[in-house]
Amino acid sequence: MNKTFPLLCLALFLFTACGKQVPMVQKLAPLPEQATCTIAILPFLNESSYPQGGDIVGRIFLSELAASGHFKVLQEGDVQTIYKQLLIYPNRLPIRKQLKMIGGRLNADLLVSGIVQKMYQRDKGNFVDTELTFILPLYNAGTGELLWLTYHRRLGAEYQQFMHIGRIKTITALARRMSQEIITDWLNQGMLPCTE
Amino acid sequence: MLSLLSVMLMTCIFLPSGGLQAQTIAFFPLLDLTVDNNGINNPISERVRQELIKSRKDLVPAADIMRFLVRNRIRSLASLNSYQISLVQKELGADQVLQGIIYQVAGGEHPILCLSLQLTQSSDSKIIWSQTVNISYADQTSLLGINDPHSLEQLYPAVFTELLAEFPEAEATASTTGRSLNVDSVYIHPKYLRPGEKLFCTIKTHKSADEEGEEPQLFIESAGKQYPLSPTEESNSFETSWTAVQEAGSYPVRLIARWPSGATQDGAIGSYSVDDKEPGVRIILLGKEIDGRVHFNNKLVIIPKLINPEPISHWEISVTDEDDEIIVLQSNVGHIPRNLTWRGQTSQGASSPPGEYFITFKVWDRAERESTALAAVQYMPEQPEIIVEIRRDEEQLLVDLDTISDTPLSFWWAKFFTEDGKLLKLAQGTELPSSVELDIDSDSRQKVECILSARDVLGNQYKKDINDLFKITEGELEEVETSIETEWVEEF
Repeated sequence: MNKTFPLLCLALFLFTACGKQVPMVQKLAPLPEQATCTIAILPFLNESSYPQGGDIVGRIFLSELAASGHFKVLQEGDVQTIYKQLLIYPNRLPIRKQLKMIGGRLNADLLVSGIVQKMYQRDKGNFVDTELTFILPLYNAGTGELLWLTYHRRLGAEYQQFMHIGRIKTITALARRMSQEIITDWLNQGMLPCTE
Repeated sequence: MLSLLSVMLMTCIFLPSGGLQAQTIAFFPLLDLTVDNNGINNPISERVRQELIKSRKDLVPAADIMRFLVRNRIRSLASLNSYQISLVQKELGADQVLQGIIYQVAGGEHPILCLSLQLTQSSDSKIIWSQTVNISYADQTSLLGINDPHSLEQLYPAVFTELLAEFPEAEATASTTGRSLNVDSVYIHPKYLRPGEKLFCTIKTHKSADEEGEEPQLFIESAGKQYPLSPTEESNSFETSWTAVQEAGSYPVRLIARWPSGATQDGAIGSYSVDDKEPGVRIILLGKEIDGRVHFNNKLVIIPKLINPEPISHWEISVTDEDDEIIVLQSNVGHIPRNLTWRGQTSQGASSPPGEYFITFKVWDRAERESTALAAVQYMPEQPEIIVEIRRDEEQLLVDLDTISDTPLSFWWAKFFTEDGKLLKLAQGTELPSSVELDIDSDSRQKVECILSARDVLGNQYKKDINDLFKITEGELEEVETSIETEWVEEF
């Protein structure tokens, strides 16, 4: 998995770099049937120059996933405890065996990790420029198998409708909006919410 | 009076139903990611607390929260785990836990505040509400610039209105009595072992927050078999051991908890690997092979190679002399080195005498399976010795050259000069003995100088300068100059 993962990310980036601005989901394997309710968010990796970029996007994504009301999102503290017990660095993606153990310990259905590739907010006087690019690998918590790979890239200016109306002016707002877009897209693509 | 009655009636109608009641909330200080990944922001935390109190929320006193954090050694904010949340309920009597994170904050003329709050039900650690708010001065700018925020204080009303707009008024306490096991640590040892070896597993759990005090029966499941865990002397600690299967492979280890009520919980807690194959190792010596034996003069490159490549736990190399005495010993953990160089010295740095040495290279894989490679090598650092004998004929001077070294020569040459520097003869070859004839007048007493040079196949260089060959014939000891070449010399 470790050898193919960068290639998959590259392929996803190449196919989507000039594409439309919706989250691009590459489905590598089908989601487990009737088992996509309980989700654990793993620590996001930060490859951008924005301080705490991985923490910010990861926690906003967790917050939005919980706020959507469709999924049972597990406590971040539980994930961190298992990371400590399994001696996994938060700045590394766990290997398949470790993913399986994390899933088993948390009784999760799905695991979501993340890699923040580009993140910035620049104040240019009259307006603020924001950009965020990240990739979300979605794993089967029971097997550690990589199921979906979601790539999303957005500029705050892309939401501008008239004059400066609609333009996203903070990186947090952009991360939040993009997280909502991804969650909506996942649901549209067939991810089943909790039934209860 | 009528209006008072109508207000009382309305109050009765909109009172919460019997199942819903005011919840006690444990509000923890906000994590401030703008400081670092474990920063704290007391002013904004206090501000949120005041807003919650204003909204008539029943909060656990801030001092109690601080004491709780200290007592339970909780050093990171906004990341309580399920066990810690259960402690919040047990120790602080809180029904809900409110944690929050500040993502962006800036004061001054251009204020920004982005934060999120997350409400968790302490009975089952379920996140029941989450809200993120991101407001900046740019979002609040009006067309005419009236009432635009120019400080963080002026941004607060908009932030808190949006943040707490959908804060749950009351939440029914979870009636679930589902059991859960809080695993503190898992220790499976060894992780890599040979078929039939014994494995040990120790599990520590947090104290059960279960009110009824039912303790589950714990089992380890691996390779299709279950092994019961028994309590150790240490509280909340359990252990078991079992024998590894014979077949090589990686085997997951699962923990199963069975409560008397019939509830079960199981999950993967680790794995171990059975290794039934030795790594196998061989060594390649980069020296000169003579008669099937490897020779070297100043440095020997040793290349270890695994026959069945696999991760290596540690390795060791030793050099023993003909008396079986170890003169070099080196070891290290981790994978084998790409190559090693031995310069004919002992571990203490002393030069070893010429002779035969034995190099042993050992590797151990993660299951401590050992593989050994052994090779012999001849250390020959000595320069080749050339013996010169002179015989005088009537018209000739015969120079016999021979060597006493066993190491074959790569080349040799001899130059003979008259006293006035004229080259009399140049002789060369690759094998000795050899004889050189010099045509000189036997009556002449002119000096004949000889320069001899030779190099063996190992690179050992020899040079000899004989000032007067006739003195050798007369039995006089000739002062000769012998040196190992360290700089460029004339060669043919």
